[in-house]
Amino acid sequence: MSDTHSHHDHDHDEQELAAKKAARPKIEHDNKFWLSLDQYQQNPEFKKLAETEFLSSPLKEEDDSANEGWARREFLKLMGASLAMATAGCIRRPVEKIIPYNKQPEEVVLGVPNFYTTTYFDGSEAIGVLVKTREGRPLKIEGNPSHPISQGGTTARAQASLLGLYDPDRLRAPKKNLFNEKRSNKDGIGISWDDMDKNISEQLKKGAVVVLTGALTSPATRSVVSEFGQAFGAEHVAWEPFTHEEIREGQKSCYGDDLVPGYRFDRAQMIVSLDADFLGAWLTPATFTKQFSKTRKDLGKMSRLVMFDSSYSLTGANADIRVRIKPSQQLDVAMGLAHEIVVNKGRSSYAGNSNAKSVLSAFAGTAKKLGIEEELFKRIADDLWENKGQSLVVAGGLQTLTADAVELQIAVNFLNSILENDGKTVEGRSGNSSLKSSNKELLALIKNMEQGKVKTLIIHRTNPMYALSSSAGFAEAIKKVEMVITTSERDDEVAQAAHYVAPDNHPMETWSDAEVTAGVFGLQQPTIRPMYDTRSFQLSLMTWAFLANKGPKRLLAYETFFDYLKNYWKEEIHPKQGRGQSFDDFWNQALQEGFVGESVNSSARSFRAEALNQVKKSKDKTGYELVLYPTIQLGDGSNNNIAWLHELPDPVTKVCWDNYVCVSLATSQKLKIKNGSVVQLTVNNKKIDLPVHIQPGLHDEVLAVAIGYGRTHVGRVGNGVGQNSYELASVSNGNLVYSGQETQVTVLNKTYKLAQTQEHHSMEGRQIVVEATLKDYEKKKEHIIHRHPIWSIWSGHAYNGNKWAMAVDLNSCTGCSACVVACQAENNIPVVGKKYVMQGREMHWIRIDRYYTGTPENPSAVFQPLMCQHCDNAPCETVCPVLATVHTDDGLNAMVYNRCVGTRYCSNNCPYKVRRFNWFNYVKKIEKPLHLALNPEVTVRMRGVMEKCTFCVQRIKEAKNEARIDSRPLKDGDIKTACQTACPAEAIVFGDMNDSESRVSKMFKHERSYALLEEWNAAPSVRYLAKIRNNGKESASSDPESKGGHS
Amino acid sequence: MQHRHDVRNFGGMVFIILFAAFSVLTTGCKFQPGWGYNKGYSPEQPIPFDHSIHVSKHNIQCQYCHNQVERSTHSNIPALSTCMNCHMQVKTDSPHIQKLRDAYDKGASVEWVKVHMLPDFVRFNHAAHLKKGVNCQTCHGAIETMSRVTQNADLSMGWCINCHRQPENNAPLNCTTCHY
Amino acid sequence: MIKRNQLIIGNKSFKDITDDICAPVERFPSKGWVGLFLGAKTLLIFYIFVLGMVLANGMGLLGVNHPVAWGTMIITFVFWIGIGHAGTLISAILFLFRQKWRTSVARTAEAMTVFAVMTAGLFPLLHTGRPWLDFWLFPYPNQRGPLWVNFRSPLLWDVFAVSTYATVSMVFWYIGLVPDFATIKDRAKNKVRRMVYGALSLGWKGTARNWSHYEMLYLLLAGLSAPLVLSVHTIVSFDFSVAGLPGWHTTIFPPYFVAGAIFSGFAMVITLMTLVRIGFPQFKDYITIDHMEVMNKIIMTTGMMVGYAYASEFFVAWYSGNPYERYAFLNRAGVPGTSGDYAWSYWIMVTCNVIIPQLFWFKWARRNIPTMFIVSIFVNIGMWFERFVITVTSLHNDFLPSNWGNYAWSFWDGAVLFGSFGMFLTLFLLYLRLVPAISIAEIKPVLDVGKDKKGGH
Repeated sequence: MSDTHSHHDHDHDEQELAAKKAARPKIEHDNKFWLSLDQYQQNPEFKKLAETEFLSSPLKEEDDSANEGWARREFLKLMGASLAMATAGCIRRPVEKIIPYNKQPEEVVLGVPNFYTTTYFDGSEAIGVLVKTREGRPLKIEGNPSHPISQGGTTARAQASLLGLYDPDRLRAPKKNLFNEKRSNKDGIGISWDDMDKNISEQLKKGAVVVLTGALTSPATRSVVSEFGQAFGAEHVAWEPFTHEEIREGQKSCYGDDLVPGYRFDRAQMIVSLDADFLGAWLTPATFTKQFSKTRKDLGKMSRLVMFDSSYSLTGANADIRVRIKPSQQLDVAMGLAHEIVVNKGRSSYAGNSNAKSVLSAFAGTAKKLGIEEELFKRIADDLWENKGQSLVVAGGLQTLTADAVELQIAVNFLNSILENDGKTVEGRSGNSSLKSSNKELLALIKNMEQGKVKTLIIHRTNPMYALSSSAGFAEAIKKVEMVITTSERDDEVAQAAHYVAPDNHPMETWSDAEVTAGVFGLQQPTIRPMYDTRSFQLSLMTWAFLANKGPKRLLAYETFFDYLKNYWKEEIHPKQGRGQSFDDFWNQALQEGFVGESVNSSARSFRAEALNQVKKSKDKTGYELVLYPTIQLGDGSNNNIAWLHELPDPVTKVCWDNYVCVSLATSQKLKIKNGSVVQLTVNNKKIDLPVHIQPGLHDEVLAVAIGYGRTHVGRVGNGVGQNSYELASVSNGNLVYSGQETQVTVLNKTYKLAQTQEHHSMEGRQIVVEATLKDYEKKKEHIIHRHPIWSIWSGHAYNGNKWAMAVDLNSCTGCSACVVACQAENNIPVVGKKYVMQGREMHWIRIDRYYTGTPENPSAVFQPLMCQHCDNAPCETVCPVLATVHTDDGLNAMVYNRCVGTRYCSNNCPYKVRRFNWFNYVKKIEKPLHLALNPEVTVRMRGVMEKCTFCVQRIKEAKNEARIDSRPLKDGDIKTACQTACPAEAIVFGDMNDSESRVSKMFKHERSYALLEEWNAAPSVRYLAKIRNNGKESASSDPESKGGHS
Repeated sequence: MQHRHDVRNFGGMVFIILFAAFSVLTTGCKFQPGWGYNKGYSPEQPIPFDHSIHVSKHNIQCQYCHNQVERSTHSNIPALSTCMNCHMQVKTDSPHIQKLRDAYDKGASVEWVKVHMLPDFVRFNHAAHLKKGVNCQTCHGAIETMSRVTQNADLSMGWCINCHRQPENNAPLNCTTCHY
Repeated sequence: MIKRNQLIIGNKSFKDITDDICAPVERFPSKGWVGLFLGAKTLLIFYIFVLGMVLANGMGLLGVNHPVAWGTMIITFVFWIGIGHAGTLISAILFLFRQKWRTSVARTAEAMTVFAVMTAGLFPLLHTGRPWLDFWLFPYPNQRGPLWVNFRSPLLWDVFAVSTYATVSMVFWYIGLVPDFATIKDRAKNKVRRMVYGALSLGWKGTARNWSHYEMLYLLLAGLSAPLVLSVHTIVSFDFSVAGLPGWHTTIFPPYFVAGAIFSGFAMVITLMTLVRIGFPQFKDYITIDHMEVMNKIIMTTGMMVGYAYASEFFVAWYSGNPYERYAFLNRAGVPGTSGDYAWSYWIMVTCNVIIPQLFWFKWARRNIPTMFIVSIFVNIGMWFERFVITVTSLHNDFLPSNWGNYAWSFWDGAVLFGSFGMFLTLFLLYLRLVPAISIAEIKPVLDVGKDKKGGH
């Protein structure tokens, strides 16, 4: 190329660059990123640099994925064009700049991720997590395997919280609302922190301050709040939708300690759950799933799970024996079991206790009354007794918040005591005393507010304007408060009613800590500098106290909450947990491991017999009863603006982007309604219109509705998705009642289409999910699987080196869907929205198929995670005309996006239909700063190319390179796929088949292992381990189909 | 008769020649290496950094500046602090160095023009290649003698494959080696 | 021996023939033609707009989805390719078998073929996700290693099959036209016309040498394109039968597809010929009821072949003992216990393709213009649905019930389907105006066929 020519080209490129610069999305807040501590301390001019630096750091893929929205797309276009125009003459790629660091931060190696330990708290569960960052940018959340409680398990919501950080709808600066007289209309304006702080600290001096927060698991934060309370005589009220108050009250009246006990499912051989969805959305699902799965791996001593289910919960779906009940029957069941044990069988120390007997006598013959198979009921009671000390009875969650929620807890505690479980599977001492939120206190607060007794209300991380039924009158009461301040991170329902919005940092931007259980403390450290002009709640309180110059000196002494926190740990935690370490070592270790301490051992507590007297037999109800339940996707609805969670189908109903009322098949026939017909529910003259989802296995008098939907001010994703069913809760004698309320149904002459990702629920007699009862399995062993004689005229691929493969244990998989979100986060999988899900265009690389077996009255469900099977005889490979999908010599089925022209022939020829096609240019829809969540190690696909699970090839590469760089062989477990690391049940194992010692090759040899559609001889590199149900029956279920094999 | 015969042949000839010319035009350039690629690209840099002086004359190791190349997929362009290690003392009077120094003191940086550009869907790992014993010159040419960096190879897929194909290199030839 | 009816009625002289056939080309277009043309042209413009939209926004506009990744475009592609078969069959195979009656319809049938293949050819190119990269489907030297195409993929075989077929049939058609272009040139009154048709006739002199070369070339091309009639649709059928999907993976597909193609092709010929006879009454003497009847017989025969194929598919599904295969076919027919979402399309297909053509057992039906027109229309519809059944029904319920789903038919699907007729009709109408619709050169030799010695009756 002649110089002149290149010059000419150069100018040309300059213009092009200018044009691009203009087109390039301005990332206003980029100056807020801190690539390193050094830079953190840089002078303001550094922001300028940081911006350019972000737009084109030395990392090519890095910064391109950072403005994926257009860069890669443009490039691929150009690519196509260049080839087309190559005849016309040579074209030159646009000029790109490299802007190196000013000072090299020593912990940053370009393109090599750093992991930071921190804690994710969702209101009930504090999960120990690792945050993967690159160049100071959080990219992925992984479970922290060394964490003593969650042990590396995560939930779908924990995985998705990353997207919350980059949510475009977050508030970017403090805000002031000017109200009219009646507070009916407002006008929001921006305000500087200084002015706001001045006004607030003035107001606070007037006293009558209340701090209303969600459950505060952070000791340091609690101490800030209490010291703030001392400063202004402020009262602290904690409330959130899942108070777990009923558990605490039950514990109090039975054992005298006000806490949520620690449940040890890993020690339980016989588990009876009364509507406690502990595998799904109750209390600490990640931990519980971890514990529970441990008891399902060794079939020699496999636990048994019995679920009395009034919604079709995830736990119910995984139960060995599932009994459908309605909420009003929960107490009867618990007491009925006790009656069976104590009175009928005359077992336990209470056998002679006349008082107990008299209380129990009211519950004689429960099974008959509830229409539960009496034999079954007896057997459950016996099993409980036979496993005493190793059994566990739990109840809780919104589903149990009926009028007699506490009585239910007492009954459950009674059972656990007579079964000598307390101190073994139920640990009082190691319980969590930090979950202190309370409905009663909130209702009391509302009274005070109405009477104008509250001058200033500070609201943090809780949302009574949305999650509290309007019948509690919070919305009216708040208007009587002189000044309302909220720290909402978004302009949400509370922010609408607040005078000042002092936006809090996102948890990933701020320091904090957590009391995970008694004796175990977790640290929460920021993994990115605050993206916007926000300030942590704690620092806000400290600042206001400082300006008012009130309160203990510890509160006023520090400039940042970090200093406060560190000092707090020095004074409070270190002495208890230090074990003679110097504080610095202690602190660094805590930072490194993410936690300190270990759960304290517990011992049996004495049950206060008089507590039993509170339990009264309530008269049997007839007619429809309401069940409100949280979903695993949205939980209480606080992270309702995260598209990943909305697109994640419910594991049982497979519906996404909506909530709906579940009715049983019989009920639907009785009411003559179909899926999607709209009905109106009336609960104490509160009305709500909802589409119907016919849910087999529900009690015929149950109407189950998910909470967490129907938000009005959460953001553009969540607003108006579904209906707010919190509204249906009602206040009765100073407490909130959610479930078991009488409900009228009126069928409206309307229909509303729900987006369902799986519309056919039977296996059609095909061997898809192999399921057998424990008894069957012990008898038949490998013969539970129908094997096909397979032969081929082709010797197959030769795999010298590695042969990657994956094994999925269907017996461990609970269908919790953490893997689906993890995969979405890892692999830059777009969200398509309801409209396109309805057209069958969801993009998930791993989906969880759910099939029903058994009768439609009470079917059992099986789950099957399905990702690309990486077949050795891959049908997709032979039909691609351009070799865009080919086999690699380490057994992967490679998908080459940049070669794909999109004939979609591969998808047609895939018997598993796991390939996904980019029907539109979804990247174009990625709104900044969401693009920062894209994984730079994974190409972002443009319109018109096929994509699918790659076995996380980027992780394979990374691990291989690490091994190569420190010249060591790759060992089993070095490579973990995203789904594998996310899975709390350790159901997914990935590894090398050529290593006969690897876990995966061992699992492949297992007698329960089989390949999906074996007879089709695609020879998948994924094998499944058959599902075993420990229901004491002979054949898998009354459904012959589920045994699979040929018709 | 004879005459007409000739004419027809001539016409045929013309046709054939035109057709040949056309096909060369349309496909010919496909055979030429470097078409549509950046081979020989040698943009002007904001500061005329001269590899020949630093490497050949003063024998500075590549890894002194590109210090992360053995650990990372990327060969990092040195931070300004690295330059200043020497240029605090060396050649402080040169206007270019002053430019560098100002940027450094302002906490700013230098906008180097990227020379070797791979498409975004191509993943090249420097560390892996170094570990294999591939030296810088194999791809970057006689970089140590370049007073202005020039793209040495066309960096086309064919060019990469060509090396990976050699049995003695036993390098992987999977699509996923570079595309994922 | 049965005495054959005259191929050309009305005691024509050679001059009459030339006048009659050249008339539409030389006369000013009739109102009818102009009306039709404007209609077709508008539809074509709409079609172009629709394709533009699909190109700009992506395949997502159409109903294709997961699991039904192929839809209207592929269906309509196979439909038009099928239509394309009659032409070559008539012109090549019947020519080789010395079927003299073909001469009257050959030209128009071939024209139809060429236009149908052009219409069809667009679809596989446009239905890809990134049409601007379609050239990757052709093996050409490149700088990617070089990176070749996958010769194991039926889609690639398609690329070759269809392009070959298009080329050969176009050349064949054009060669046949050369003498007639010359005729028109000679008759031309004004200069432009003279020049244009002169150029088109490639300096045809009508010398003995011309004729002998012409005959030879025509024979060779006939021989060349005869196998193509079979090969093209065989290979198109491979797109399905080579895949492993229940309902696709069937050995009967090649003959079944070819029969179907000829079936639909002749139906379309009938449709067009009836219209031509209305549009240009003088052609009635050349395209006689006898011609129509022969073609109707072929329609009935091939119709029954197709019917046989349907039946044997069911038999094999049952006989194979393969549960997936069985389900696929029971589901097509909508047997209770299957989803049967698309049973309606299956029964439309059976009615149109198997039952209705049985009318042609009756002579009156074979010889009655309105009847045969209606039947041919039904056959066209039926054959489109045949491809719909094969593509969509097989895809929507395959191996794993978890990903069963339905085709998300959208406005754009309909637009693409009907738009393609706009393209076809526009081309066809132009052809009727600009090209002698019957081969003057070939019709003259068969003038005497069926006449008794004395001439006249």
